[in-house]
Amino acid sequence: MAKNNQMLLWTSKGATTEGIPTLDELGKSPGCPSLQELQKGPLAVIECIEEIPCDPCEAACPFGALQIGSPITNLPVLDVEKCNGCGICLSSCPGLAIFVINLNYSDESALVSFPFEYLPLPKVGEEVSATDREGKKVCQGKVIGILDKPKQDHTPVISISIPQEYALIVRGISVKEANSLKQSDSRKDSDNGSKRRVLTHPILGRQQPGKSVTITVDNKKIKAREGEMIIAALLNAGTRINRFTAKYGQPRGLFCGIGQCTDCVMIVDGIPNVRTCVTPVKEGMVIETQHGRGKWG
Amino acid sequence: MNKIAEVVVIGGGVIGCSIAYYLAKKGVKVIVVEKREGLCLGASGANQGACPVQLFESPVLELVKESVKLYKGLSEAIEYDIEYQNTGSLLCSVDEEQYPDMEKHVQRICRSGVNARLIEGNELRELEPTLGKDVIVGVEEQDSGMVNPFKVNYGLAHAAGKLGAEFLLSAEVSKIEINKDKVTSVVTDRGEIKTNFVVNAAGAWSPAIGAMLGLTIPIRPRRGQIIVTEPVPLNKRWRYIIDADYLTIAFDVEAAEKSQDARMKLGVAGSYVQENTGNWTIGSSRDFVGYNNQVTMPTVKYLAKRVIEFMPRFKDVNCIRTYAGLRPFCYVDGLPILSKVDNAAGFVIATGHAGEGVALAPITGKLISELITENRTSLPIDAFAFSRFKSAKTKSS
Repeated sequence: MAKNNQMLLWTSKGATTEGIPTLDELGKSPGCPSLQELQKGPLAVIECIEEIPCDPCEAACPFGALQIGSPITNLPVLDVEKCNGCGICLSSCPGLAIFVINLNYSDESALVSFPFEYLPLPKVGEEVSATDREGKKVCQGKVIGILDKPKQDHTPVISISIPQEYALIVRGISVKEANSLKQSDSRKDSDNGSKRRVLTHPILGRQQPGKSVTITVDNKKIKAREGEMIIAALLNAGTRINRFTAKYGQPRGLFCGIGQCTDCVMIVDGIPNVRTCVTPVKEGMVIETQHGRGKWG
Repeated sequence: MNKIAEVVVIGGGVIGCSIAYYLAKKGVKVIVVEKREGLCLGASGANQGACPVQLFESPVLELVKESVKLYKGLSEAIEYDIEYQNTGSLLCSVDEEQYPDMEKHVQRICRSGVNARLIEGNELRELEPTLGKDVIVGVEEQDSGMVNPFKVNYGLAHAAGKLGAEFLLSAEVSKIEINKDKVTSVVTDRGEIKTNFVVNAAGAWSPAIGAMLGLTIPIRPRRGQIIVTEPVPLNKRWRYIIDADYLTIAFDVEAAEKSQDARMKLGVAGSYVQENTGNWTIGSSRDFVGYNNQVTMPTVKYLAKRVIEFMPRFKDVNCIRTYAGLRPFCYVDGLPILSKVDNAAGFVIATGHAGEGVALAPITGKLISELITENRTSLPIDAFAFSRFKSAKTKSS
């Protein structure tokens, strides 16, 4: 049985300065059960301390153990009587802030479950390095279970057993170096003598490079691949600045990469505000760095 | 909690706040009552902030001209930058059949003292390369201006507040007490206010306030939908461009409703305004759907299609948001109502500005404050009297 004085703790300057909550900050959260409550059995631990408008966890719990209510910025409240530590809520939290702790998994070990959005996934039975909230390796653990059903919606839940005294510290495992990514970096890319193009993608697999085309960027001709986005050709050629802001003339480049933020807009064939991250290249395209609102061609 | 005020203004929009400011300036103790949780949440916050001089005929034209004059000095007077700019406007047409109408239009507005001239399509495109080849003729006028409607609303409220006006938000009026045909108090869900004057500046919601005194105020909410685009390079010459259809659709409700054309039926006639930041607001539509301020896809499509006819470059411009506002439209004659009421002394109506609430806000505030404190106005407002509806009724019956 784990005792209070055996539990290892961590130091942090707090969520606002370091992004890692202190014990005090977690203690004030109505979603974090106390050590005494954890002693009684597996429970969800909701390390949610910022009052943001977010509530998927409330609907996720089949036992009604999670309550947010109105306003939506309320912190989630955990009802320890109703929670049985099933872990359904873990994948629902967009902030990946929910964990399940089973303090007395065995006499010596505790079971910690956490959401894990990296590839490749570990295997059941594998020995892994357990990490703290900062991502630092703190001890060894063993993968006991992986939950990756449609219900988890691409946010698998990993359960690892670790020495009991680390139960309040361990919140993840070390991400393995993805061999496939390394390969793509080292593969030869003849265009512009650069190697920045991702040709083997960890999810999409091996990419067939398109036909080579030439585009003009600020009066300079560069090579691009048909079908790739303008920004990919620019990054490959080493261009990182796409525009300068209207008010302060500050440089902006790729930020979201999915057509939402408009930081990468340029003047393309005389049209200002073209989002280069979602616009495919075409032979002979003329692209200019945009200053402020730009100008019509 | 009971309060006392010399005047209670119902409505925290641009009209209500303007009236409060001009009254407070004369030393009158005003309380503005707004049913919603903030100011500028109705049509005042869902428009294009334009003051188009060339669209109006007498008697509204005189008000608009005076209003633009007041706007010129308003930032300084209220110590709040309302972003007023004298931009002028261009009314143009893509329909050859409208050519004679445009000639008539320019003659008419020149006669009424507006500085305007007719410009042929080719010259227009030279002056403003954004205009497309379909634009055949335009009428340029140099007196129109634009303001930031939010800043006007908040600036006037801010200035009124400094002069002692009070604002009671989230306070819905439930009753107006009358004793011997005189207003005595206004009952809200945040307490009662003893007063001798009540101004109904509730915009599209003003009929409900009138009904508390048994008055039928002939106002219907007219929905206007607007598209906002991303910032694009500033136009060279005209940043306020109006579709010639505006003249018929906005002012002739019957013609619009009876039209076979789907766009006309939705009341889509363009008014395109480019803000300083480069964003365009593309308005507007006009339909009567009760108190529904939702944006609808067919209308947005017609708005977008129409702007591309005038400025083909818009086919490459992204829309970043849309909104709709409910304009208080007088279904009898389309004119505002700025008036006292015969058998309820102390009840003043200031509504029915339709799509021109922002354009007419300063002059409305000035005239209503004069009407209350001096019982006479610096401009004639007989054409906007509430009694005109009764006489219309007796004539027809």
